[in-house]
Amino acid sequence: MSWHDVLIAMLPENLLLAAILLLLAVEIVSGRSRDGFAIAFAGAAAAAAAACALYVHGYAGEPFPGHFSVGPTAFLPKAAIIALTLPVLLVSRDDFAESRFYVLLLSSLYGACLLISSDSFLTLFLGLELMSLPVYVLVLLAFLRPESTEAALKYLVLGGAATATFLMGASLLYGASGSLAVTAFSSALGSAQPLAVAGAVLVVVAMMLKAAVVPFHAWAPDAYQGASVPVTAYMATIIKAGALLAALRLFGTTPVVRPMTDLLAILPLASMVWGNIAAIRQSSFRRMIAYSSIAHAGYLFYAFLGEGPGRYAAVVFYLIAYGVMNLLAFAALPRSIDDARHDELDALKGLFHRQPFAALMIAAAMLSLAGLPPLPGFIAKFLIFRNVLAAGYTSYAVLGLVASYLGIYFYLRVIQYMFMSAEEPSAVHGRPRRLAFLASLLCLVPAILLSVFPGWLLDRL
Amino acid sequence: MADATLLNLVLWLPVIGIAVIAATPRGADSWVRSLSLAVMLLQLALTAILYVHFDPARAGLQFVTSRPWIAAWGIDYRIGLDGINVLLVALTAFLGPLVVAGAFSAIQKDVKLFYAMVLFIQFAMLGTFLAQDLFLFYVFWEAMLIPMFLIIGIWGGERRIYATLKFVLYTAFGSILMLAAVIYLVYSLNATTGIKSFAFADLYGSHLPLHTQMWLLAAFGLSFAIKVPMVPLHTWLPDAHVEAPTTGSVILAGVLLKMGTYGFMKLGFPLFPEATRAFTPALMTLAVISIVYGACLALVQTDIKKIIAYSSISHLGYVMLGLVSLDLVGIQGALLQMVSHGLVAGGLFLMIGMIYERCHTRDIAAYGGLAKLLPVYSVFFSILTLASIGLPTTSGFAGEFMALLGAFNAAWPQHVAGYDLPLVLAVIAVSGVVLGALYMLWLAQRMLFGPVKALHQPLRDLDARERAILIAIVAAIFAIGLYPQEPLRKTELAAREYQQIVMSGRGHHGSLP
Amino acid sequence: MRRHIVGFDIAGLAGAMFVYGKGLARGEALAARFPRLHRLLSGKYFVDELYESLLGRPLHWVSERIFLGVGDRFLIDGSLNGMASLAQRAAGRLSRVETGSLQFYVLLAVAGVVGCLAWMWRNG
Repeated sequence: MSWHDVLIAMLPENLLLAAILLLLAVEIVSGRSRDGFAIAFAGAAAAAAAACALYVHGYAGEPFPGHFSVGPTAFLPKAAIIALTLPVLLVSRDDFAESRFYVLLLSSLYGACLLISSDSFLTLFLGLELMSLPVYVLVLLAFLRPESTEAALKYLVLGGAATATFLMGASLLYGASGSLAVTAFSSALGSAQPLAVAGAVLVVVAMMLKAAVVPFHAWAPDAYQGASVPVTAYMATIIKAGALLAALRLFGTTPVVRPMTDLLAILPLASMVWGNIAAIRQSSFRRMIAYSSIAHAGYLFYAFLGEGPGRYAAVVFYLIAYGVMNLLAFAALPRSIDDARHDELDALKGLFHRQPFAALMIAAAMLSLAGLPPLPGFIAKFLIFRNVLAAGYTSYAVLGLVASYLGIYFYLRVIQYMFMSAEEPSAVHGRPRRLAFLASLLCLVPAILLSVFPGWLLDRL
Repeated sequence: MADATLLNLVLWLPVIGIAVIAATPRGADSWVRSLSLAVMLLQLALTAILYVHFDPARAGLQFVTSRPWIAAWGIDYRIGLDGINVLLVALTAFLGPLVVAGAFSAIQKDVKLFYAMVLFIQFAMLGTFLAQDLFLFYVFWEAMLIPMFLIIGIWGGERRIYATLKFVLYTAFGSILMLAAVIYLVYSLNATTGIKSFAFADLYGSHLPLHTQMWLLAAFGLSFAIKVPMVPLHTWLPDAHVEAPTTGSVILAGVLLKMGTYGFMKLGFPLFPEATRAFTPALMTLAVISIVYGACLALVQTDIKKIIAYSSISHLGYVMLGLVSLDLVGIQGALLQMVSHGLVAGGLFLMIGMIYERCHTRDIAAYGGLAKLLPVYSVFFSILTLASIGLPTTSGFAGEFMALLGAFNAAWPQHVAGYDLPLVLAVIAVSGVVLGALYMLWLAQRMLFGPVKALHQPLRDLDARERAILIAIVAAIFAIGLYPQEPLRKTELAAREYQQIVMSGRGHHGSLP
Repeated sequence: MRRHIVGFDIAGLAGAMFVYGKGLARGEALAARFPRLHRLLSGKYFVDELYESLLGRPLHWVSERIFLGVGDRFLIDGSLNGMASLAQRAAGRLSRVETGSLQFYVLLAVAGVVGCLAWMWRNG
């Protein structure tokens, strides 16, 4: 474990750390709150580039044996989630300019990176907490509305419950296997010891709580609605990605048997149905996205029903496709002077006539989230359901597909408002923002590439 | 092969058109219109070249392009022409410029988006017909929904939101189940033979157990039956047609409805031959119900578009009848009827659009004596009415007659053997012809003849653009009607192959070049 | 046989010449003397009306009332619209679970944990 190895292996994390320290240093030195956007963006971009380079190079290593290891299967997801944060940063420029926002965001991202490479429950816990704690504050930070405080509190309490459950499960697994390694989880999956099984269940439940799967999802609509747009975007994409990549790390390629498969099938199925149906009546865009992300968490957990080797490809591809399109929608969302007004779906009425590009981007995002070809969301769903069917769970796959059908309506409703409704006469519009436009381009290009050449990414997964 | 590139060009030309349209500045509507028309005409010209070069004597696919797309799953970008889709591709290319030209005066707002959607749907429809890979087929099949959703929803009538949501959600439901069936089918093939492929040719020989086949056929069949549409899955069609703008109705009736029957012929029946044979009595019954029920409902409508909508349900019942008869004459008749219906129904909807632009009502009661006010219009309307009824010398006759003949050919040996149901059904189907004459002639009589009703004055007769469109359609109708041998020659080998696959259940791998 | 047909032709021609050859007067006189026969013949044996009442009106009635009214509108569209409103109502109920009460959310989560553990214990 030479310092050189640590430096290179953790290069993405180190670059993020450097950016955080620089932001703090600048703030301390200058004595007042300064604009940290440039440093943050540069740091994140460098970290993403580093992760890509290391992935392409095929670097693998174990800087902290037993706790933290890296390899191509870790670098690709890291590159993906850091790259997904870039549009979030661009979108946030108009809401937040203070360093503390960027410090918190980058810290959370650091935690997510830790999560992806963890080999022991300690590192996993560290990463989970580091990923979540800043976000509790971020929800509160914009303080645009009184609901933000409430939302942050709810998220905190339930996030704390998740952490507690995770620790309980981890300690039970330690008790059952005597080891803190993540592999204790996969061995517990096949074990008959009640201690191990209980430990595994608690850990899975903790992941589901973090990802907002039914019945652990109740915090999500309030939290998403209470936060400001960039934070909601971050929660919907990167936090979810972190939770699922952690689950991926835990499950590995171990085959899953009953009754764990029941858990992994019924709860996600319930999420799909609940999320897709409850979204129908929402009038707030962020709340609607919350319910939609509950459903998407369901699809993602379904991937664990599939055969071991295919899980990684399914989950990572889905997270990338889902993340890109979700961010596209948030980036293209038109601004309004008043944040609460900004959030209402009614504000989108007639958008096509005012800002055609924004309307088309949001429409593409909605269609991809609904899983309609030729957008990348379709291929992502196809991948997941293909794996489930191939593993032999025909009825679960069919039910899942029908549940995903239920979701088409509310996505179409957004498109209906944008294209087919006349504009609300009372609509007040903010200035169009250049950086958000850049963010949507940043999301659009990968989206087009993914829909036309999905094989390129799939071959590398 | 230069012809393969030509086929790719035909398919992708609308996409290039969309890119150019997107680049035009706002407000340059006339540019957008001319550009769209130019793209469609160019596509028609290229398709005509391909049609002429299509060799009727060669079995299997022609002008094939096959390139790996998602190699990990065995999905290829695979397109080609064969006897089944060559006529439908020609129909789509033929209707393209007519659709664009027909919309010139009707669509005034959001013109760029409109023509972009028309081009996109043209691309999706051609892709569905040309695709020879199941994944590619599914992508194009679903891709048709979004432009149609927008076309009906933005430029449609009063209840357009209800109609377009009904259309999309109904069709999407069938598609979701079809997706499950697609995945299951490909993985069964992979599991039993180790072949990892989505190509049609590889899937034809899958030899699944009958029980599995029946479920899969039900899943595929549901999706296709919704599109045809077959009774009782047809209620989206009247609403969609009535609320859609003229262009939408023409695209819907002209080409989109053929997707369902094409799906049955290319995929549903050949992929699951044993199940098809087991389901034949049920399918035949449903086809005949469509014929009669559609015609009966057309009789009692007061909205002109709804009459033609229900008549479409009835006419496509003949196609299904011909397809399940598994008799060569019937199959060929079904193909011909597909093309004929596209032309006739497309033409009728165009004409309804023309009169609607003048009088702004679709209520029959408002019309009367048009023969005196608009003589040229009435001539074309009468020709199309007679073609819809199936008057000999029009394409409608050839298709309907051959389909019915096929049904009788298939029913007679069964009757001799003691099984009477097919014969009874075939006889009932013939009554559909009479009913067809009933509602169409009645419509024509009420609209064109009789006392002149006070309408939106002054009425101008058809202008040069409208006449050109209708002359093209009528010429095609008579060309096929007077010399059906020409299009039928091109389809014969494919029809035989279809018949062979479904009747014998033998897998057929001869479609690979 | 052919002779009989030609005979009918000639007879018809002769009859027409007899009745109408010298203007309408003779025709009208005949109509007055055989009113019912006249009505039958000029009504074309009432075949059209027969068709209308035996076939046309029942067909129209069945198509409108049964096929359209019961079949299309009630059964098919009714079930479709019914399913759509079911989805809407379900959506309303489900979103009302989000009462905003934190205690309820935690209760839900805890119930979920307990439920999962119980399930595993029973089936493991």
